[in-house]
Amino acid sequence: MVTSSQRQDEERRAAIRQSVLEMGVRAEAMIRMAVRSVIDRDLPLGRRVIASDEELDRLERLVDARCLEFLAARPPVASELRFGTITMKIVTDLERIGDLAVGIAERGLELGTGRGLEPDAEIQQMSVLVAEMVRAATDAYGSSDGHDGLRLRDMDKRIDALDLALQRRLLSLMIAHPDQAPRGLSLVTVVHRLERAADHAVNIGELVAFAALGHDPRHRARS
Amino acid sequence: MRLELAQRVALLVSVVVGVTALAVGASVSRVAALGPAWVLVVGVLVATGCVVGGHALARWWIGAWLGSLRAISEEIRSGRSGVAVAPDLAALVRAANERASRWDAERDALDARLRLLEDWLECTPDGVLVVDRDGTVAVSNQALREMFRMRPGGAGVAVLEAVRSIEVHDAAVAALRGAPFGPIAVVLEHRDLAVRGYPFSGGGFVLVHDMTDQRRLERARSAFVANVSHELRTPLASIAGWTEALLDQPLPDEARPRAEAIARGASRLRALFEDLLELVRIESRTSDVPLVPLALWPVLEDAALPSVEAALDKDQEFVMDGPEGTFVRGNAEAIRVIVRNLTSNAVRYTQRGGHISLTVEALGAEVVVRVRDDGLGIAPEHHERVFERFYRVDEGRSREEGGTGLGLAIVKHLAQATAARVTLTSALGHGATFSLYLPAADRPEPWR
Repeated sequence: MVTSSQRQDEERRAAIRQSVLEMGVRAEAMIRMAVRSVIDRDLPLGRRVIASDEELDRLERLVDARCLEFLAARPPVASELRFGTITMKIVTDLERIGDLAVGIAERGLELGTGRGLEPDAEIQQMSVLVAEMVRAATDAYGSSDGHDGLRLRDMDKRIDALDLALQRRLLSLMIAHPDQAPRGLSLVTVVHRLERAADHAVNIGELVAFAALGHDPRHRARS
Repeated sequence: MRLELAQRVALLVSVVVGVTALAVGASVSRVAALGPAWVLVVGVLVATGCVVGGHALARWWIGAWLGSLRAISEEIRSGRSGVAVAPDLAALVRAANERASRWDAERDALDARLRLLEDWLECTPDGVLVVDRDGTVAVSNQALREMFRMRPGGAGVAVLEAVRSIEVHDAAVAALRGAPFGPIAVVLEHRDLAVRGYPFSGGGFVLVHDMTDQRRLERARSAFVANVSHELRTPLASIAGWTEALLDQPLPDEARPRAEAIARGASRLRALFEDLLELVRIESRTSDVPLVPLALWPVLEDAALPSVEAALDKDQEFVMDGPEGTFVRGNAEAIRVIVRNLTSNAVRYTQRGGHISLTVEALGAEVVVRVRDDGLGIAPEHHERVFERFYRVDEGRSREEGGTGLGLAIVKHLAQATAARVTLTSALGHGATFSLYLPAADRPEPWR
């Protein structure tokens, strides 16, 4: 039998999940747009990324407040406690991903519309992977699938490999064309921020795994 | 109605018959010389018999009525006709059946229209999403499902759960609030999409247009022109540089005019590339020119200076006139380029000793900058086309005068990008007036 307080709980959870989903989709779009704005020298797109961060921040505050409300409604049982606290951590990660996207877009604005020698295709490929990881993390949270959450670690290995390859590639480009060094350094920063965004996605996956499976997989040796 | 009438008539008849029977019974008993008590008994017996009989008769009649009504309703339901019923009822049956078959035809026509709309929706290349008032998906089409790799079905769930796109979500939210949305670009891996949202009586309507090919073409064109210009400018610099160096040296008589021709050609080519690059630059950032309140005259004087000098060389009169302290909302660099092009055209296409004026006039919410000359003028049939790239009214003449054919195209694009507009009034032989309309602004707040 479903009591009215249980129904209210369910509604609260659904509202929280909906807002986290919105944050995830927003953060994913921001990563895509930020990297595209750098590669295409699309300054208005870059500005759009920076402007959209405000909405992400608003959603983070909203979810935090709702989680506190959810936890304060009654003495929570273990799974409810995990859901509430982990959601609050996840939105921090999503908000950080948005900040990293803003950082990438700002680099794009600094670089302006000038041209240079750059590994556009690889950076684009890396951004697609990172965006997919953010989506996978959001999906894992949405379906409370701990195993899906842990799968993000495998995706992260590809990001790490790409990160390394791109750093080397940019370094050799800068050595060969010293006049392109400022541009190259900016792109190194972009790649680095993408790599950190992927790490936040992995964090989310691990938090989902903890909430769903009940044991904490963080900081264990990643085999 | 008829049933009630039949029942009443039946009762009335039975009562009349009963009363008559009472009277007949009375006269019979009088004949038989019976006492009044017997008269009453016989009368009541006969009357009762008549009433019971009449009632049975009425029930039978009503039963028959109901039976034929059942037959009629059965007939209407089955859509058949031909069951034996009374003629007036047959008309009822026919009418009902006709109405029913008309309804059937209308329903079939509606079904066909609905199928047509559904087929059209499914095969239309734009993604379509219809959102109910409660924010859930009512309808989505094939194109949308492909664009966003949606799972099949998806009706009845929240927009964000069906379509993982923040732009579609925002468009739906705005439309449900009653505000049109977009167009706004969606960046996907291999696609560029533009999302629009529209409110309608039943909820929200989101339209997604695939811009991939268009964007790819634009990008390719911009990159091509930028690269070509860059590649061409490098050898041109050495041609111009070395020709200049040659001209500084003593040259054989026949060689000097040739070297001068090379120098002129090189300088025209350079002007052309500069204009071409400018045009590409403007076209690639049309939505992105910051507009601020600014004082107009310093910009105009700066822009017109080269033309004033050129006019002196051609013995032309160049007049500038208008109220001081005029402020407009615009972009100084854009206004400078526009006015520089308009004034240099005026000087270029006006004969020696001609008159050129640059005037400013405030017209309510707008400020108009007019560049007027008394040169050859432009025939009305060319007015629309002079703003096109490389369109020339007089091919030989403009080449001779050193125009690139891009100046007015640049003017038009810059005006469009900065909330301004340019118009042309001219008649052949009566000079030309180009008017630049700029939004007026108040004096900017001084720094404190």
